[in-house]
Amino acid sequence: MQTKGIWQIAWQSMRSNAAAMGGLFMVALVMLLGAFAPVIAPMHPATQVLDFRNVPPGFHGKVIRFKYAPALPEQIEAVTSVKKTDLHIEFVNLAGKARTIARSQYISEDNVYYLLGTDHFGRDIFSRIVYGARISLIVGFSASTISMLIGVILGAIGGYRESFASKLIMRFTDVMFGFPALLFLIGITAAFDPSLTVVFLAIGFVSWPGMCRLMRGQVLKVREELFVSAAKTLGFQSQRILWRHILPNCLAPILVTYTLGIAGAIMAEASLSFLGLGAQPPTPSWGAMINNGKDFIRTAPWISLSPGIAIAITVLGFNLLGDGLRDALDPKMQGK
Amino acid sequence: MPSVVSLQGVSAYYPTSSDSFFVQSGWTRILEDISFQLSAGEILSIVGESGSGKSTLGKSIVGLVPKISGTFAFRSKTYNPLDMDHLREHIQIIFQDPYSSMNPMMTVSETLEEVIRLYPKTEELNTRMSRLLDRANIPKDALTKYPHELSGGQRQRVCIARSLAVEPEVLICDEIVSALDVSVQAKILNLLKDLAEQKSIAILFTTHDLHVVESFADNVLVMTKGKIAESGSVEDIFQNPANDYTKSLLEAVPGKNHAKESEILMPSSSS
Repeated sequence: MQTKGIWQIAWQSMRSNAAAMGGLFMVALVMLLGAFAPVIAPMHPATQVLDFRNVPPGFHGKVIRFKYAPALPEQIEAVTSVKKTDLHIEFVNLAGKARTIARSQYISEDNVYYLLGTDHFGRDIFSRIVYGARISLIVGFSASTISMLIGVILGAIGGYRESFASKLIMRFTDVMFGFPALLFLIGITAAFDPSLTVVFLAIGFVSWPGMCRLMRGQVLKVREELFVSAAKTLGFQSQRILWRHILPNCLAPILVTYTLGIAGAIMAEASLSFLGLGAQPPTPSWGAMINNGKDFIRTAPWISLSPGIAIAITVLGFNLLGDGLRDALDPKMQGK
Repeated sequence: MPSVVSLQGVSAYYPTSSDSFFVQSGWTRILEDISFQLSAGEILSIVGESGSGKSTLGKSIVGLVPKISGTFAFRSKTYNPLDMDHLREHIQIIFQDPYSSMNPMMTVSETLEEVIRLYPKTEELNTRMSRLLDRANIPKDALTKYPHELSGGQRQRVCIARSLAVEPEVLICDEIVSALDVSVQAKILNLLKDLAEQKSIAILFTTHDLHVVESFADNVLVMTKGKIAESGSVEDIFQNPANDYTKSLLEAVPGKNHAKESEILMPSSSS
């Protein structure tokens, strides 16, 4: 007979939960996009084709890439036709003007396809969304991990024993809860030079109190369990009992909150980037992309809509996954 | 025979919570003036109905009760149960509920290995492990299983093995067979009896089942309302109970009660 741990049982019950698997699929999709961004994205996220600004989704075009000199940056221009000779390349741009460059200046001639259109700098929105997935995921995981580490450690200390330290921790947590989270975040990020590092550190430091209270409640519950008394009478030190016996039995709700926390952190990052306090241009952050498009929302709504949908899918995915985990890890599901 | 564990004038208390914010919570006395001695290889059974304090008595010896008074001694040296980490390797307790006394996240082998490593001996881990499995009669294929995959009897065996891994001199068994099937009960009791005889482990065995006491224990201690009603050898107490409470307890045993009932129902035939 094969033995099954609690995680295996949870996985089995999650597999039959369609919503949770949908969530897992969305999360996996976004993760794959982020992981293989250079392969998937047709263009570099910062590449501008100024001739193709605000073009709608599904637009086809032709561009030529060349350099005036090896040390100078690459030029991209939209063309209607290209003629090659042994020594020269002759091309006609969108305005109908013909130009000639030397063969050595020429790099390539590409057909471009803008699946989701371009923004007002002529950057490919699909490529930016694919690269933006990396930023959202990095911020989501880092911030939620920071929040979990702080919350779990403080909550475990706060719950295991009644002491001056534990009271101090819990009152500090109450104080942290008193601040409106988004305002607090804006305050922190505004105080530093805006960067992604500041953003995820700030989100992590603002969002731990919920995790801390949850962990404390869990520890208060689990420490009264008989196997903890058993560990005590067997002679284990209290540190070992806390980390080896109590903590692993508190992990299920922590994991659920961690997953939901990723969704929250992605939203927070998008909000901050929308306000210009997050990743700075030309970093393709989804929140900043929505902001970029807000002036063109009537004429080129795809600029804001596409990253908005990406955020919605990612956040929905993590929320569905978190809810699925909650159902799967429900203590009532664990066979006695 | 010199006593391994002795208690003198022991009382134990649990906190009472107060409903009112302004009234301070107090302490309720669960045990009152308990004194007895336990010798090596002895099986002492503590009997009493629910709420008589027999479980509290066992727990107080290993410091699982928040407030205790009186004198506890191990091998004639007094100790404080609330600060007895140096005595853990000598005194062990096994709980009534085998379902919740194992860490659900650890397999059987992890559970046992952890304790074996805590008390290093000259012998190798594997040797000690297989001897424990033999002694507690745990099949080898149970090692990789988690608690929820074991039966109640198997779990209780693992709990016994876990306590034996410490190689204690005193084993407190808090109603350890109450949650088990009768057939499994007998096997566990035989195991304990062997331990007392072969390893001279002193066993304090709380139960409400007088059948178990009669067949298994050397001495018995009858408890009611947190006090000792009567104590003595099993034969003495079962043959000539002196205390009224002991008598009523013995009469409440199903087999004996049945005889009495028939007397009441058919007075003509018996007179």
